[in-house]
Amino acid sequence: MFNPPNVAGWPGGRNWIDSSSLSFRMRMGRILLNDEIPDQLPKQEGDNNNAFDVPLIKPKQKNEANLMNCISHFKEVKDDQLFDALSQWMMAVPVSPALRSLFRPVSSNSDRSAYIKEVLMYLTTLPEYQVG
Amino acid sequence: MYINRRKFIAQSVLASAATFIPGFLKGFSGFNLSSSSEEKVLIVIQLSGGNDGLNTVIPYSDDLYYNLRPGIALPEKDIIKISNSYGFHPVMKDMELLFKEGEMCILNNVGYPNPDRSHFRAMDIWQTGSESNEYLNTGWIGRYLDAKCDGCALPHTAVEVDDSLSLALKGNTVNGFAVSHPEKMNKALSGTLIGQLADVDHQHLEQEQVSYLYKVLSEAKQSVNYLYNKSKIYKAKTTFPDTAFGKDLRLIAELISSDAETKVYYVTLSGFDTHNNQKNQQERLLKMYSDGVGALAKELKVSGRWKDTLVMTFSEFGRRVEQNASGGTDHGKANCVFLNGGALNNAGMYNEISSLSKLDQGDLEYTIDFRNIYATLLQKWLKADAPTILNKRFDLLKI
Repeated sequence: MFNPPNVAGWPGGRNWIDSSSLSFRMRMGRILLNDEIPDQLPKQEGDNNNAFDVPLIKPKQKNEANLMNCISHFKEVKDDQLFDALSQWMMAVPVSPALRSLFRPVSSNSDRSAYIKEVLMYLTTLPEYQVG
Repeated sequence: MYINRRKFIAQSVLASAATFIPGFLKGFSGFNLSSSSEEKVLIVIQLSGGNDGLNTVIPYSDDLYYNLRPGIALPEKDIIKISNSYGFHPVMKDMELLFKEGEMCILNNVGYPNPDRSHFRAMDIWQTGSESNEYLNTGWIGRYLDAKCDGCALPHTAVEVDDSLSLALKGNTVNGFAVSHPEKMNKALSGTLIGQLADVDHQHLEQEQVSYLYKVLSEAKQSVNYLYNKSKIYKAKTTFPDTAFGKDLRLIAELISSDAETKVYYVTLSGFDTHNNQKNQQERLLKMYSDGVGALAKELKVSGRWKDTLVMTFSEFGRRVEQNASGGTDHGKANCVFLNGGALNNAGMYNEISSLSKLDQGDLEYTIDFRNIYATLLQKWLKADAPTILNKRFDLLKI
């Protein structure tokens, strides 16, 4: 987002999206939620003044997001409705049953914090999440 | 050993005839007419930061060169002489070999009208092929993809060996493909959630934008799968320099040698912004560059694909003729561009370096527009329609 293709800024439309920018965006949620190390690094501009700039996200930095607010926000929601509640909250486009079947959590939905994190990582990976 | 018909013929012909032809004659063999344009490959090497061209191809017989650069001019005895007037930076031994073999064409004073000294903007101009007062959202290679195959080409028709895609490879309807480690990326796209999403049938999705994203993902999976499988077929026999740039070039050499259908490869070597202590920095980078291209040429000769390959090297601008007070040089204008390949028609020094006594505000005067080079590569080498791609007709060079 802060790294536009040129001084004209983001062109709008489809032009800006290519496989590398899409895959980075799809992994962004995971990187932030799960403290994963981004393996795509921004290009070096070649400008001596920027040679020592830290990359957008510094590898090995603790990125683990604080999910406490999110957990308390959904406190009243029943375990078996948690996925639907989270996806309605996050997504502009509904998650189809076929897509839903790709969500195979490791943790049980009674383990709120772990489960919410897994749902959020799943949702932020979806191409549907990338459209506003 | 994997061998196909073309390689068998190429190698047997090389073994029978080429061994007896002295190197200087090979340069006159012209663009190889026996292989079709479909087999031609273009590699673009971008030297980011603004390489100091005057310490790369050095006008060593000109006293002004020494007078204007008392601290950073290279000693005449160390320069690799390629003519009575010009020589290479001492670390460019592999480039000297290519030059002697007739596999290098040096274009001097390449630039454009009203140049821009900002890295960002100058690179933009070079990557999009725009005028200096014009802002384009597509790159010249991206528009080549558009023209070649409107909407139907897979992204790996043009491959950038990098994590992210440069503007140069973005078209209106087609984008090139960025990948630095096909194996790693292939793994990330198989068996994972992202890999499963890539297999979702996107043609029946209602939302057009969402459908488009799935299409990009699905094509990425196909492209990386294709490239990964190709990269396994052929393993380089030459030792490439143990640098990131060397590894990038090895991947390119292996893909070309295994007849991947990629037409254009794009790779960057960064760090040429030598405002201070230029000597060590440029020496290190030029060695990386020269050794890398040397290994690439050697390997492609082994696999018989060097005659189908053209390498173009550019930087976003040259540097000022006079050195600065920090043992470096500041942003300038015109610069040299290199073409390397096994099928050059007109190897050697294409033109003289502009006079150091008639400078344009302290910079070399430009005499060749970079888009003349693009037009020539597009029209003559890739057999594409250059005026459509460059939005204007540029004269073709005799290369």
